[in-house]
Amino acid sequence: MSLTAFLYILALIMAGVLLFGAVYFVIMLTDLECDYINPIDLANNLNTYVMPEMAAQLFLFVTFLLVGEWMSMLLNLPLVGWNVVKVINARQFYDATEVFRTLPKHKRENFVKVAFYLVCFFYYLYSMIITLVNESTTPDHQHVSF
Amino acid sequence: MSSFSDHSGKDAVHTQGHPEYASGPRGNAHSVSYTKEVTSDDVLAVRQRALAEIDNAKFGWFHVKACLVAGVGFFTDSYDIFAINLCSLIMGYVYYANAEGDAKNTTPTNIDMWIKGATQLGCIFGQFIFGYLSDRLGRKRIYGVELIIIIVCTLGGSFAGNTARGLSVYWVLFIWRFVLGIGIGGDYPVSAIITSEFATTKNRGAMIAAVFAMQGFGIVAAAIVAIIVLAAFKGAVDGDQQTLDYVWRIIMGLGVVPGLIALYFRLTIPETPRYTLDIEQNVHQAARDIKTTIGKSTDDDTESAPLQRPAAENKVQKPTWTEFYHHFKKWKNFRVLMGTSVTWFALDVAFYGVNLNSSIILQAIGFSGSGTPYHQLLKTSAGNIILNLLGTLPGYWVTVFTIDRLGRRTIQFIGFVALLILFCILGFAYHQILDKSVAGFVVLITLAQFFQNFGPNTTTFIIPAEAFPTRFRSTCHGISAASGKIGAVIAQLGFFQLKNRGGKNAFIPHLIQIFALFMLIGLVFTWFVPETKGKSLEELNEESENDD
Repeated sequence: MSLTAFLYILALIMAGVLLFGAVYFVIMLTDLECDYINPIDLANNLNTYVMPEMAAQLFLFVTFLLVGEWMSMLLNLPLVGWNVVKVINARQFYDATEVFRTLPKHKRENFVKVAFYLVCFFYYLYSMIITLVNESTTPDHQHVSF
Repeated sequence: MSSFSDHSGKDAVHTQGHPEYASGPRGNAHSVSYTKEVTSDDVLAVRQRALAEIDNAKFGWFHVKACLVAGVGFFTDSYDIFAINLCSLIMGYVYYANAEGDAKNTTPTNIDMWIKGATQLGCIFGQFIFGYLSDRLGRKRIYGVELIIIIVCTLGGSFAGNTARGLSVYWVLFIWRFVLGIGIGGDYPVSAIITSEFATTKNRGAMIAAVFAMQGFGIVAAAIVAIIVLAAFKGAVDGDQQTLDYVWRIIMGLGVVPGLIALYFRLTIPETPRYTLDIEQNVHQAARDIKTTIGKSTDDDTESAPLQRPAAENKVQKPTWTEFYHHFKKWKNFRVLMGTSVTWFALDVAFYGVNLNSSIILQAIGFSGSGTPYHQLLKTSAGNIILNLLGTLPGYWVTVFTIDRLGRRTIQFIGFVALLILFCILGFAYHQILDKSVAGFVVLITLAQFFQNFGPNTTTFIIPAEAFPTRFRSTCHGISAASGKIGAVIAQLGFFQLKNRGGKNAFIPHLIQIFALFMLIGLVFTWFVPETKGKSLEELNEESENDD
């Protein structure tokens, strides 16, 4: 099994985990809206996962870049750029005192992330299958390219 | 017991902000002190408040968690069904590698049939047994037990081997999978009822449907795991075909992972408030449980504190056979049970019948693969992912998002009518369609899968979880589910026996016509089931006990 296939398997699993994380963020924000939790608990809860998520996203981007999977790399580029901008401006953490004011913005951001990770998941799945099928064909068969 | 309908939930909700008053149905405020004797009116007020709190709670992390924990059983169910199909294929390569001619590398048909049917058979027993037990002993006491059975039996099955005398690996696996079926079957009624009793009235349909929709993820997950494991073993398999033995055991064993995660949550779930209220008559405990689970941090614990000793009639109202018989002797009640059971039966005959056809479809769309075992299995898994993502998964989720708006009966009617039409087309024009356009055939099958799930498959699961009184709810759901599985077993056995009459796969068009007939039966019996959208469980309870 080639490195590319292994990478896509890893990316698939990570995309699943990140998807679950983004959905968790959305649910926590709606819980705040409904008064199930207070802003301080929310901030503490979510802030522990902000950096790991960015790190995972960056890891995927860098490995796609190094291995040479250009389409996947380009797919991840906008989100990595967005994360980098946030870190440069020190705006990546949730601030308990401001969160009510910025709630609609955060919710929108996380909805977009859910949609994005969903698309990523299916794209990695598709790429993984294509890579595996291409590997397993002998030299005289045609490579599948869809 | 019949006075509940006079007191709307509004009264109960208004008292929430005033801990020192417990204004009962009489309307005047009176303070509740520790010395006052607890009357049934106070119990009533707390009961209504508690129920209103569940029913009107906003959708939050608690509800998502409940759906995930309850849905793990269904995830594992469909993961297992897909896994056994694949593992049976792989086992053929391992244990029949030296068979002669056509039979080489294939599991014999009747062994194959028993292996695949084992879980379904066990399910029937599990649904009856656990359905009854959860009414008799309480949801909490047995929730978690069926997941333990599932975990142990999946692991046991993945370690199955030949005994020195008597049983081949296939028969050992059969035994493990039969007991696994008991666990999986047990999951059906208990998960449905727990979700139904914890859900808000507005979202109840969506929540139960979401629990059931985990089945869709299970199939996709199983296919993905299969592809990954196969890819990991490619080198080894190309060298020595027997290493495929690792592959099927790993695929099967990995199915326990979600279950292990969910086990802790299942064992620590509090008893559903409605069971505590109605059957154990313990209002104080129920109110406390609701506060801890729904998690709203209000500080009106003082309201429930005086009710340390519940009202005098603390008898626990367990369901008995006599009561069951008297309740369902009335046609008004019996027709609901008959409706849910017969529709589930009719649907499952067609549902499992079509799923068995999927290998033929895969052949038709060029995904059945040939050549090395690795290649063939890889393509089969990939093909299954595609088929399921196209029809089954969307069907589940469209139901989740529309069921509380359109209603259960509407969706069930839509599903049965669409399936009736689709199966008639497919049954009477099977060869014409297949010869003319393979893509058209695939489209029709995909539509059929879509309408099964945006339709009877989901609604026949949801309605029995709502339409019966609390003390019978689980038993009746178990009965309906078991009649469904009986239909599945009949479909599987019948399909295998009949499909080759008149030539290989020649009887299939007629089988599809028979499925169309079952859809008609399901359509007719849908008239008997009530519409449960938007009504709280208590309202539905009263409707079935109006002349008590």
